[in-house]
Amino acid sequence: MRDSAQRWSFAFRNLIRHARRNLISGAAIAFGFTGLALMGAYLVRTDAYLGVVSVYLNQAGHVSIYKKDGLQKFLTYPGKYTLSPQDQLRLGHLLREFPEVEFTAGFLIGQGLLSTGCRDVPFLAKGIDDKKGLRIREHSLVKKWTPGLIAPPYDKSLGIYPNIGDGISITGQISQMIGKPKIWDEAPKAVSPVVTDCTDKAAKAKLSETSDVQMVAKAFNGDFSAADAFIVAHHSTGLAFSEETSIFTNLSHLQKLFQTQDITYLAVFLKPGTSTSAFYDRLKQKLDAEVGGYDVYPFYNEKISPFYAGVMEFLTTMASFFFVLVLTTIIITIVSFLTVGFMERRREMGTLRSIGYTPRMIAGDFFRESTLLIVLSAMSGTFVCYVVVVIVNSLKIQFSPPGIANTMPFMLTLTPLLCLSVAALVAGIGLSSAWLKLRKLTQEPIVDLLRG
Amino acid sequence: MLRIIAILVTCMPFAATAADSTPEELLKISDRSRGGLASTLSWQVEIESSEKDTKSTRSFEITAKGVDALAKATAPSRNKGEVFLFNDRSLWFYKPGLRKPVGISSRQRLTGETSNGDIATTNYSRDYTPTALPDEKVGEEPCYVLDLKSKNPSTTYDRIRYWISRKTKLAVKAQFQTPEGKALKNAFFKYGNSIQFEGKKLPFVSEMEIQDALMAQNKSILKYQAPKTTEAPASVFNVNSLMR
Repeated sequence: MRDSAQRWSFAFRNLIRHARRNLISGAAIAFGFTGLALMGAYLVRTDAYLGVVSVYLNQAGHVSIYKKDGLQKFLTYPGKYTLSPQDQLRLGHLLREFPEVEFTAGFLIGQGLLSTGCRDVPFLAKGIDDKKGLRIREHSLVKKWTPGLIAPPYDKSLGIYPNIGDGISITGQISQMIGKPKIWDEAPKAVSPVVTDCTDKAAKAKLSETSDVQMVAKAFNGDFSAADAFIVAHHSTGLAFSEETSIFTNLSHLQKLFQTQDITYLAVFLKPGTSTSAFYDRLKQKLDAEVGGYDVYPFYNEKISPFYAGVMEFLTTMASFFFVLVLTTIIITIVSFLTVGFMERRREMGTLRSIGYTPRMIAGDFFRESTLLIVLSAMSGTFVCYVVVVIVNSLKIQFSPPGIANTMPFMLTLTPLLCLSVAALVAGIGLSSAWLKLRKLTQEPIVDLLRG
Repeated sequence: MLRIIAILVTCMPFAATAADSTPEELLKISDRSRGGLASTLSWQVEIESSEKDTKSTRSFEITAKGVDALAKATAPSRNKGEVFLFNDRSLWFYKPGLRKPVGISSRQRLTGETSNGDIATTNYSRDYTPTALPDEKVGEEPCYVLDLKSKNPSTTYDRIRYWISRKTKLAVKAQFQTPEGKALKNAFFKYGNSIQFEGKKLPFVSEMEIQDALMAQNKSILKYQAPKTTEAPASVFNVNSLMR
């Protein structure tokens, strides 16, 4: 033990002996570590943000259950590929056996036209129970990761209007497209008159003063159907491609429009900290074994959340590429550090060998120096990381990455686990390459070492 | 004598041409037998649709005058009370429970292969610009063939190829097309009904079969029954009266 402590002390003094050179090597490793950790911090943040958008705000749930082939066919054959009340009951019973389920919610999806009397826009509506919708919006993870998407003007939800059975929430973009900027709270609770001449500017102007609209669709039984609605809230899906068509409404209101009691899918929301992939595997196994006829999808499946899956795959590929680049740089730095250090101390190594040091002992000394260098660099890098993260997060930078509706905050999330993982990776790669190099370097004959 | 005969023979084709109607006239004549009259008419129409292995039936009571028409759903019972109102080129839908009628498109699907605009009166002479094409036969029936191009974006179809019998001046076939001329649906007409109009008996459509152009097994058959002239106040065709 004492011998070991002395050797580490010896290694540390050797590091200081060539302070300038070792400082440069250490700085290179520290910056490499910082780059990897910050990239990881951005990945963690983006994964959390898009994950919450997919799971909660776009209501995919952690896992969603469809009728077999329902995901592909429910819009074309809605009556055949939706979950009937019996299906819902059966699935509800089955899910009670899983303690990690926080809650479930049924969703009906349907398409149609939203009409003001003079302007029609296509919609893709999602019907949800008001209380479940409120619970989703007020979830702790939504507040933590996507507060901007539930802040004004998106701070109202259907759930706060329980007495308005035909309330709908539309996106800001739809509101602009149909010329209906006002919501229930701002507009008179009256119904706009029938406009027979849409070229009449005065009549058209009256339409923008109220919040009433009408929804037209083909019911599940093929009948032409229509329903009244009031715009009670605005929302953002967080994703550009769905901002032009997304409507949320009460489940029973949408079921009335489509003349059905079915839902399109059942979303399962898990307790925070639960592994989605593990739950998905177990649920799929149980469903296939006990009740066939359903398809299960985790939220990260590209068919459920194509944007999330696409972005994370792209970022992971890009990050992997940079990881390899940076790790290669670290390997080269360490190998260069060892090679130069060894070359400078050849006679010293020769002297030590001649008095009985084995090549392994010498390699051990250099290895300890490399270890200290990497550890000190990692610690410095971690400190720099935290400073950068604090500065970046306090700047509250907003940016518009492709595919995101409006803007999203550019923030980084650095966790102890991330730092330790990057440190372990850097140390593992660095020290492995150090050991391989040292084995070669320390095999030289004593005579050659003493000559210098 | 020979000279007279020669003149007569030379003039005969021109005489025949002068007796032939123009495309516009043909459309006006054929429209009458499909409800395009200035008088108020009423009839019932039953639509039987079949698509793969599903069948459905819907019935309507139609009241029409000129460019206006009111279609009330009478069967099945879940659709009773639903009303489609055609005011010139505007189309409204109303059912009990709605706060006000909703403006819809004649192009939207009503049931089966039938669009909203198919159940109302036909005013092709107003809505389409006809161009004569070479004559063809439909079965054994020699027909004028017209290429109809829509004058207005609110018509039910952008383009129609229309076969009108040379003998009866009634439409026997229609092919509803995209603006580029690609076939969407085919329709075949029968005229087993008649109505009294201006003291004369006018043939009136009794059946219209609409088939999907790609899948002929998907079709809707509209059966017209009990057409007659009638009286109806102008308020019947007023959109604001639907809510009363």
